[in-house]
Amino acid sequence: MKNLRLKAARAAKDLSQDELAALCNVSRQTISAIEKGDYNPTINLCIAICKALDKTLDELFWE
Amino acid sequence: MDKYADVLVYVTIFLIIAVVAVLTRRNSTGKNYDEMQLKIRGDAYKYSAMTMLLLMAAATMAYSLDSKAFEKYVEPSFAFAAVLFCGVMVFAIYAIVKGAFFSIDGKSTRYLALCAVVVLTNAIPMVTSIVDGTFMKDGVLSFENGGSNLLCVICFTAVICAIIGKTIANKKEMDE
Repeated sequence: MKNLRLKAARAAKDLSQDELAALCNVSRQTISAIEKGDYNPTINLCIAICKALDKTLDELFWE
Repeated sequence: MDKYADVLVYVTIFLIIAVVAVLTRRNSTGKNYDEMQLKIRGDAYKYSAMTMLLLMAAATMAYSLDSKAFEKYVEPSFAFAAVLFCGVMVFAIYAIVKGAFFSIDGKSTRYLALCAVVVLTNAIPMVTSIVDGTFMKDGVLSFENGGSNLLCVICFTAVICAIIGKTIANKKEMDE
């Protein structure tokens, strides 16, 4: 299932996938895969993404 | 005396590789692959091993059932080397397509150049041997004659195609 909330939060911060990936110390492909719903990130990566986007886990990853 | 000279060459090569490996590790900063890439690389190793096992079993069976029929065209040395190259190709292409071949800040251009050099250095002797008529020995393809060059050219050309394809796909994805 696509993670549109992550995509929207990234767009709201005016960040590209590359920039978010650099902030979270992962590859752009990983951010792309999470947004497309192709990869389920570990809790550590979820937290890193939330910190980078100033969001909570609930806002981005909870159904 | 020649025996000792051979051993000395191997020891020197081993030492050079060890020193380069240690220096590379010391100079590397931070982590190389993220969690998704490590997972994909694990899958790639699995598929590569499965491919090699299946092809190795098929080749062994083929040569043990009717070795003369196959040895007329391809020597076992070439067939088993081809199996190894297939395994390498499966790993490399799967990892490239899934975006896990290069590390987080790894640049594909360096690898492309390296692969192109390998293809060229193998294609030149291969073409020369085809022209000379020494590519096959009595119509049999062996690893020692032109087989190794042929396998290198096929394997690295496939890797180059995968890298170029992935680069184009990445650019399209970023434009969207």
